Amino acid sequence: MPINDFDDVALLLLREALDLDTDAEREHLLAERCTDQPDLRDHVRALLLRTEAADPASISSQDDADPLLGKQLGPFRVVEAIGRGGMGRVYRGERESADFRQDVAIKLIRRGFDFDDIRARFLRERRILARLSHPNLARFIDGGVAPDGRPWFALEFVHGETITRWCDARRLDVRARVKLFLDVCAAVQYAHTQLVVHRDLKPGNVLVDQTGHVRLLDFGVAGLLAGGDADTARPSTIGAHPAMTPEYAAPEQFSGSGVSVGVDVYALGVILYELIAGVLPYQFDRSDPAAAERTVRETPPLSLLARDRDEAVGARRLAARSLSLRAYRTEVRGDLSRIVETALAKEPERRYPTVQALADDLARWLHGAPVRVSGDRIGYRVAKFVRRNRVVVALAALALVAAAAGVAGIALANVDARREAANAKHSAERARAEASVASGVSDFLGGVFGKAAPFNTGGKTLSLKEALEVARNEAMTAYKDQPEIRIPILLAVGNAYEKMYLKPEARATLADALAEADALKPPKPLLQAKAMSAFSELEVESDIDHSVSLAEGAVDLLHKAPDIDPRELISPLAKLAVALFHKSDFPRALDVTEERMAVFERTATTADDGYNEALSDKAMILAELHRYDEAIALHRRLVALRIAQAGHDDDLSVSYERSILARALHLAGRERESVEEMRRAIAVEKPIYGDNYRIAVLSGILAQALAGDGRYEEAEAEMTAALRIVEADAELKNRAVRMRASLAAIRSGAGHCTAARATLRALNADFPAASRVDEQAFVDAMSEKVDACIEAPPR
Amino acid sequence: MTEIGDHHVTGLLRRWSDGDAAALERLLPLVYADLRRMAASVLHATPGHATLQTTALVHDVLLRLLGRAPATFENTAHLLNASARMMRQVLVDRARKAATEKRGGHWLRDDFTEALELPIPDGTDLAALDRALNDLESVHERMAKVVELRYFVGLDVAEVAGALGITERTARRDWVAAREWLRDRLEQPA
Repeated sequence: MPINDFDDVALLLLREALDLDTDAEREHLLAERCTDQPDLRDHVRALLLRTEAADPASISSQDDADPLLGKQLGPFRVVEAIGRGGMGRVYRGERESADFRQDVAIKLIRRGFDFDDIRARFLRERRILARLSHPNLARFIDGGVAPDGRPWFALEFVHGETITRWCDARRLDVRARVKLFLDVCAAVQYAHTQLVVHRDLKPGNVLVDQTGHVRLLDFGVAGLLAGGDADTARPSTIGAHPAMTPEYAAPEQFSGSGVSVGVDVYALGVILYELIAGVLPYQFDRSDPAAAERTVRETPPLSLLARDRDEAVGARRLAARSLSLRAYRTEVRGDLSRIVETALAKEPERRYPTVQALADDLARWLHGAPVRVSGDRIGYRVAKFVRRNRVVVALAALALVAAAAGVAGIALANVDARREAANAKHSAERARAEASVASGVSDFLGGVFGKAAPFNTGGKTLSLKEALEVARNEAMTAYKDQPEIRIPILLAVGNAYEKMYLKPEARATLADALAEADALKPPKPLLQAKAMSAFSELEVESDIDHSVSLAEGAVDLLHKAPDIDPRELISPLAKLAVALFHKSDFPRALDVTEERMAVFERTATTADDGYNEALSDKAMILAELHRYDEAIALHRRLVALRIAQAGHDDDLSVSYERSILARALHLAGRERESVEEMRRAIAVEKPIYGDNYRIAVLSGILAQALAGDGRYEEAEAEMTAALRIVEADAELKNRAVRMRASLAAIRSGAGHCTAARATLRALNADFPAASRVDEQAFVDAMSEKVDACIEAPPR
Repeated sequence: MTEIGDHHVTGLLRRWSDGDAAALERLLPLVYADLRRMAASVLHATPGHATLQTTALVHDVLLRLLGRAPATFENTAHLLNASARMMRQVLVDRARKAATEKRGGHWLRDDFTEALELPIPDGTDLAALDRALNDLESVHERMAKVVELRYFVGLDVAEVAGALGITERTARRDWVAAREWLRDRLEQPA
């Protein structure tokens, strides 16, 4: 087709000509290439002229004129477009009269988007904003309806600088910055009292105006906390969470969790961090969403005192704060760092509960008064573990109860009677070893267990229970006048009850033991401490604060008591670590565990297996502190050690370490390695235990790792298997709630939305809300995933 | 400023996959607005606009619209090119369908195209544009890509340059040359 050839040549020539800089050069090119083709030359020349005629500016502009520009909205003339989002538009408007001029920011729904639902949402936003009035918030000025029917509202247009730039420009020192920051807190706190959360706080939304006053913008994303417009209180799909800025978004925002004050506390923490340090608490590549999310969720913020890799950054920071390095460090070290850390805690429950609490601590810091964060902290418990970001943690937490139980962690989950019998014997042996006071104890226990022959021959749990009952009763009568013997027996029996999930019996027995130990005259601190730590272990799942204080009390007693073998501290310290762990007070759990290790070191007994248990606990705590590399290295060391001890790979001691290594890998996001380790652990344990609770827990973690790796089919299979085990046992049935919720989330991840919804429905039918208060947050989180499910295309 | 909320996206996607064709017309502009913000944020490295959630959502929506297995986009440029292809297809099909129903087949300003905010000149015959772009591609592939990203994703020249890994100057020259050539081509009697 000649015309096409002609066109094609013209195009290439045109393009080539455009690479030349002057008209003369272009003419020259055309003359040279089109010697006997005047048509072509004329054609390209025409194209060139048209190209040049096109205004270069229009090339890059979106070039369709906005019909709203220059128009009147209420008393305002629309001057320019200043922002656009998915469904909204923002313009600058002006009101001019003889004596004043007012600038406003006008917001309205984008053209073509004026649907009923969007409109309702917009009007709601307008109502929220209209009811806020605070000197540090941009004022709501007016609202109306545009000629085309779109509702609009106008806010005060703030002329100012972002708070970070403003502070740097004035070289404010750290104290002056904190003082200014208190005004930001005041505005946010005010909004919270009006039941509005901001959800997108960042320096770009925190300006300082020409009079030096802080002004907050953009409460447009605001979510209502409660009441009023109830339907916004609990958003149900990802999209209900409007724009967030990853650098300032709280970990829970990445998973699209609901509206809460904690989100604003966190963002304020980031802004405060930035004001102090001049850099952000995290470095991540914002073009890689998954990595950014992982960073925010899992790595601790850089220390405010961290040395900058780039020295220029550090120098700039000091210059902008009129501080020497030493002065900066003195200011920031200690309380201020702790305040920032608390605001930036990964789990909302560990943050300041309100902005006011953050502001109060900052004010105390400014006045040199002791701050609260370092002292007694907001009580929050293991049950709330769930709110952590990863589904698995909930499961892992259950696994950890087992792990931390010390005596026979592996067996906690084991409801098989034979295993229980072995545990009870183990406890008994331990009690025997410890109760040097009365050699009679061991004989007594031996006798009781000897009588209870059935469980030795594979009988039912019931027989063991009976045996323990006999033991308890006989202890009360036979050693009526010998509390030194009676109490250790009660402790051993109580422990055995506990391992069998016979909580009421365990509680009654241990309470007796504790009361008796406390009543001893003269006091026997060692016995008291033992009773307290036994009771502490029991309370881990029921009353965590009590559990901690009991273990603390035990440690304290032993510290004060004269002539106590330092090794007696080991057990109460282990219990205390467990309690603190479950209270999610990981820093203290780490301290206590290190103290336990130090006892072994001081007494030159690191060859004891208890030392390895302490190391294993330490590794687990490190993982919770997001120190994954250290945790994983330590876990691996322990796996190797267990293999060396056992002489082979498939020993239970090896698989136990492997399973918690797998968990750490999963927490670290190293899903593939996690899957591999967990599979090996299960391969060892399953033939031994059969389908027991521990296997269910491990399979649950495995399922989560698989889901994390996008292998939803395998994940579903594992979770289903785990669930089958748990649901077959009446004792464990309530543990199925989380597993079923996770299963729903996995199915929704696989794009099997119908199945996911059915799973949730069944869950809701089988476990009414009242029966699963502790699991509710977790179920909610999973339900949100299912709500956001996107059906996979049929194969 | 911020969104009023785009919680409709997943719902729309669901409706669309349930066979509600109109849902796509509400869905695409939303996804597109996000896609462009995302592109701007990645290509200009301007912080603050695109959100991670948005990015993930856009990926997901486009993957499903394109009927691909998850995670097959190597990078943003890849995603943008795929989106351009998809949108071109959607718009051309739509125009052809309209042409059989009434007269036309041209780029018309209705609610849908308005919301897409694509810089396609009013009254463009999309079927002819499609053919011309095919020709352009055989002559100068890069120029065709530039036009596709401009017209069917709505990127500006700097963003196009970023997506194709060429200098802005080159992108601009490709763009003006191609645009004039296409205009000339479309004005010729078929």
